[in-house]
Amino acid sequence: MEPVLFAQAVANSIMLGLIYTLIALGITLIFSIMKIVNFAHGQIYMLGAFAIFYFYAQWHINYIISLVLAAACIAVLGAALEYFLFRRLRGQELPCLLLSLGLALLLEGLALIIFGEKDMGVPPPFPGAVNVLGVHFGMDRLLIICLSLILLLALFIFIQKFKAGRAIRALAQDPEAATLQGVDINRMSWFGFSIGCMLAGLSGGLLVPVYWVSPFIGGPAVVKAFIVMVLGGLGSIPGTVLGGLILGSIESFGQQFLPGTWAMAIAYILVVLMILIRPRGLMGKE
Amino acid sequence: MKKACIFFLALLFILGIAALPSHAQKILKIGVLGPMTGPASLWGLAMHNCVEMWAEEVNAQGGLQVKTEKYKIETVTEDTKYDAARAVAGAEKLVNRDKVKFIIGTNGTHEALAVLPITTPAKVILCTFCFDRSAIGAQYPYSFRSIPTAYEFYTPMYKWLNQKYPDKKRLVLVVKNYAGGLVVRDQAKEATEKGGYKIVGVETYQPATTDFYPIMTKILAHKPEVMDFTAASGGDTGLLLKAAKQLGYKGITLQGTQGDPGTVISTAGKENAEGHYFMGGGSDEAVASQAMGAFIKEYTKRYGSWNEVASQDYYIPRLVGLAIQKAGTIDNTDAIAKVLEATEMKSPLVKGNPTVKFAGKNYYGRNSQVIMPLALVQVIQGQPKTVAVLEAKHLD
Repeated sequence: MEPVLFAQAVANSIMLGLIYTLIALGITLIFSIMKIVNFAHGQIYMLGAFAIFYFYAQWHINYIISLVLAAACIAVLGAALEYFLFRRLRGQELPCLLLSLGLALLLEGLALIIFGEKDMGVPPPFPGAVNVLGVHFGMDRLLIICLSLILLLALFIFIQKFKAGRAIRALAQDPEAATLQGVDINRMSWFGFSIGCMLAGLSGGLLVPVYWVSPFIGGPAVVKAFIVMVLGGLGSIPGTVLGGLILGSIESFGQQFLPGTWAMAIAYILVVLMILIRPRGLMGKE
Repeated sequence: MKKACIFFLALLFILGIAALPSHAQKILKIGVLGPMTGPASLWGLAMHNCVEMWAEEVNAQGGLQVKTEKYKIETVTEDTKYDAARAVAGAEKLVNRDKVKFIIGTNGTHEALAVLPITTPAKVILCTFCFDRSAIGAQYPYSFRSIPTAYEFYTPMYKWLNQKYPDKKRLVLVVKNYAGGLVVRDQAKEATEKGGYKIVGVETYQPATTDFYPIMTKILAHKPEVMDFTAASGGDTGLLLKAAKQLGYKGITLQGTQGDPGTVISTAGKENAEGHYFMGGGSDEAVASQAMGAFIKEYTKRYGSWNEVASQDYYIPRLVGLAIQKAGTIDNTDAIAKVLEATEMKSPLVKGNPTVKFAGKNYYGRNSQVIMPLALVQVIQGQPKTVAVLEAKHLD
């Protein structure tokens, strides 16, 4: 194996891993607080991508401002979804699951009607590529790596250091005890769901210049997010990072060094083994 | 009680009479079968929209004149979601419930091969858009292909490239792992081997792949001079181009299927899409007539945005309509199929009004393949430009 090819595979693994972490982060947060497996997460990711398509590509607003606007819009949508839909079914896992499935179909159908059936691209805000010792990085990917790391750090600081973050953590660990300590379960669920959706929207917005957007990008994205969650551990943010990097490495090395269709097969086999041997994932709680 | 019964019967009689139109116009039902939702709806909706526009155009003139009767065209659409099982269910409904004799559709090879055992015994004319060679062969006498495929495009395209770039022979085929992609891969192999190209790699990727860096790294290890994206969608092509250029590739890129230039250029970015070749719909100024401009305008007005695929889907409902008129029947599909094999029309959409017709007897066993002038388009300075108009070569 040529060292440059190996180095490129490692670089690709890290890039892909962070991308998958970003997609799975919101779904992990929502699951950890509310125990909702949100199947509509992919469609919210898709809406974030469309928001950037309009703000940045169509209306020519600065990319970073577009990201902030998209995040705000999707956070408001998430808050509305929690307030009007999920709150009414709190604690009922199966109805919540079915609600999120229905919501996924509804959002995808509405997007098809409103945005049309075509794939749409967004020009890269930072075109070009850099070459470091024979390993190539697209500038848009470097931007994603930087912003993903900033986002992860910000989320970590928020969860660890801020009062609202600690309340969300308490709610995730023991809702009853958190309520007895004065945590407003309604407010925090609403806030947490909104942040989870905002993360989905942000990941859609960050990735759309690297990929493309259509009403149908949500399904594949949510499948990847679930693989990451199962590998890393349901509800664990460090586990999500680990799961993302594992999936990224499987895809990168698998696609580069094995026949084309093997990589995802390996990922699925690993998911099945993980569910059988260690259902809580590598870093999930019992 | 008796009076009430008489009144009720009289009322029923009057309502029954009223419900019968005195001069009901005869109806000709055309089925549309394809993906109206889901990722493949780009193709299905373009097909549906073209049939719908044609039907409204004909109905606005009083209907389709067949001998002495005028038939109002009614379209019945079934969504397959690009799924063979749903395509079968849709075909069953169209054939048995709606009693259609003409179906425009099935976009995927898997859909067409699943549906043909239903439409063929029922003698229903199926105008498919799939790329599989066998789907329009002699064993399916009521099956026709509505668009040119890579079979028609690859041989002249590679011949043209061979002349322009005689020293670029190392070729990698990049294949999406689905029925249509694998069919186009085989077509590409056939055409390129005849053209003297050396296939140094055939790399397959899964549908729904969004990150092409890993596979492109593998492709570039083959040191290709020409990269053919076969049947990649517009979005996939854009991402493949972006990955190739960002990873340092400087050779030729192309695909043997109709490209979606807007998506390709916006997804790849202008600098990465530069130089890419693909089969065009003939809607750019170099070849498009004024009628094409009007068609694009009307399509955009109705459906929100222009879909390049529609420029080729425009012809099939018109060719079927012409064949029905020439055969002088709407029921005898044996006669209509025979006429359709010899039906041709002048394209109003392309400058010079070239002929669009069915051909392919030597290659497919029947004149069941629509052929039309094929525009070879290249992205030049961020815009799709027709660089050559090619003629389908290995047909009759």
